[in-house]
Amino acid sequence: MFICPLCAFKVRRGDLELKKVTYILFIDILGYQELAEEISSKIDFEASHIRRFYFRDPLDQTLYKFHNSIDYRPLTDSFLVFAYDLKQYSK
Amino acid sequence: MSKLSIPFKNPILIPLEIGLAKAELDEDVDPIDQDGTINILKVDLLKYYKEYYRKKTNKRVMNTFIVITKDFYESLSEDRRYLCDKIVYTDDKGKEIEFYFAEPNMMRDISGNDTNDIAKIKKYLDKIQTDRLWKYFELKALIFREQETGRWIAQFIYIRLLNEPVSENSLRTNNLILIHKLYSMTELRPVLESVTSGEFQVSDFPSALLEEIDGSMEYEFCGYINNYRIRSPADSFIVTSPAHILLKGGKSPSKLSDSEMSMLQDLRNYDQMSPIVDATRRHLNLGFWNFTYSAFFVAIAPLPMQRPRIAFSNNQMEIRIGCEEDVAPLDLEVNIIGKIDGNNTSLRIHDNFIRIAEDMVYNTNLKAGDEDGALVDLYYKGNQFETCYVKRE
Repeated sequence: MFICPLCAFKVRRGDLELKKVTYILFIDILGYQELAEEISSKIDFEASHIRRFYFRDPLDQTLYKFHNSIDYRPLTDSFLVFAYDLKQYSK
Repeated sequence: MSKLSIPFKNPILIPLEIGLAKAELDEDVDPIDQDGTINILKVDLLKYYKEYYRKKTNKRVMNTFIVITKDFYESLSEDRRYLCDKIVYTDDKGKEIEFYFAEPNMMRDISGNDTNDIAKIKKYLDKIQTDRLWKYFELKALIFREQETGRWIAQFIYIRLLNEPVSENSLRTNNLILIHKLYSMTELRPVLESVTSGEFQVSDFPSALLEEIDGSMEYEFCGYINNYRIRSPADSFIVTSPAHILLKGGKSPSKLSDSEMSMLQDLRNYDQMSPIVDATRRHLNLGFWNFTYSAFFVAIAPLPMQRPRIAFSNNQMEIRIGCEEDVAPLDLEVNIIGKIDGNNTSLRIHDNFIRIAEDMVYNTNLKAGDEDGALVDLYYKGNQFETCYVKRE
C-alpha cells in the first residue's frame, strides 16, 4: 500500500501499517517536447533523436550508475527513482 | 544529473524538474508499480511549484528546480535544511500546502563539497541575521601573482563584522596586493557566496583564483573556555569576544613562498627580514598572520560583549557582563548547577539578566548553602558562550 508523501492529505495514515521508509524522486525533463523541437530547428538533427540520445539516454545512464542502491523506472519523459537510505548520499 | 548537455557548438544544460518525497510502505509493496506515486509528485508537488512560480514572477519555470515535501525536509540533517526555502502555496480552493524549494547546486555536487559550503554559509548568515548586531564589515585579503604563470591567487580572505566604519588601507604592487575594503552588511551575502565560485574579485582589483583555499567550510560559535580564553578556531585569529565564525582552510603557503622573490622586489621599503608579513601587519593590521598559516577564508562576527565577571561569596552569586546596548537582557541566559566536592547537587537555576547601565547583571541568593562551588553556563540566544566552575569564596 502506498502512503501519500504530501503530508497524508489524500490518504489517511492510520489506515495502513507502516514498515519501510522510501525516498521517492520524480525527475522530469522540463520542455521535453518544446526544447527538442527548438534545438532541432537550429541544427540538422531530428527532434526525436535529440530526445532519445541527448535527453533520455544520458539521464538513464547516470541513474544506472546507482542501480545497486536504488530502484528506478523510466517513463516517457521522466524517471521515478526510489532510494532507501539518505545517509549514503550525504557527507 | 543536471550536467546533461548536448555536445554542439554552444552546449546547453537540459533543465529538469525534480520532486522528492518520503513515504512509508509495507514491505511487500513494490513502489515501482504505484502509478499513484507519479501523480502525487508530478501533479501535486511539481504542479504546485510551477503555479507558485508563475504567480510570483509572471513567467514559466525555465531552469532546473527541486522541490521537496515537508516529510522529506524533516528527514534532512540540520545543515542540509539550510539549503531549502519554505514555500506555502495556496491553491485555487484556498488550501495551504507547505513544501520546500531546494538549492539546485545540491544535484550537481556529487562530492558534496560545494553543497556543504553553501549550507554553512547559509547557516552563518542565518545566525547573523538573527542577531542583527552589525552594520558594516571589513574585508582584508592578500592576493599575489604566481611567478611561474602570472595568475593572481588568493592566499587569505579575512572578513570581520563591525558596528562602526573603519578607514580602508589597501596596498597594490606589481606582484602583491593587500586589499582592505569596507562594506555595508547588505553586501555580505554576495561576498560570502562568491567564495564558492572558485574565483574571488573585489571591484578595482584583479580577479584571484581560490584554488589554495580548498578546505571544507565550517561554521562554529566560539565562546570562552573557563573564563580564560576564546575557543578554537577564533583564538587563531586573535578574537577576544564570543563570535560566530565561518572558516575554510586550505593548502600550505608553498605557492606564496615560491613567488616570494618577485614580491620582495616590490616591498623594498618594508622590514627586510619578512617584508610580506610586515606589509600585511602595517596595512591590514593582522598581527596573527605569518607564513605558518595555510591559506584560509574566515568571516568573524564578534558579539559586542566583554568577558563575564563572576563572583560567588557567602550565599551571593553575581554575574556581570559588559554589553553594548544592542544586546537585550532576554538574549542572555544563565544556567547554574550546584557543586559539592565536584559532584552535582540538587541546586538548579535557569534565569535571565537585567541591564544596569553598561552591564548585564544577574544576581541571586543561593539559599541551599552547602555548595562549595557551582557550574555556570551562559548563553546568548541559545549559543553557549561560557562554561566555567566558580568556587565559593
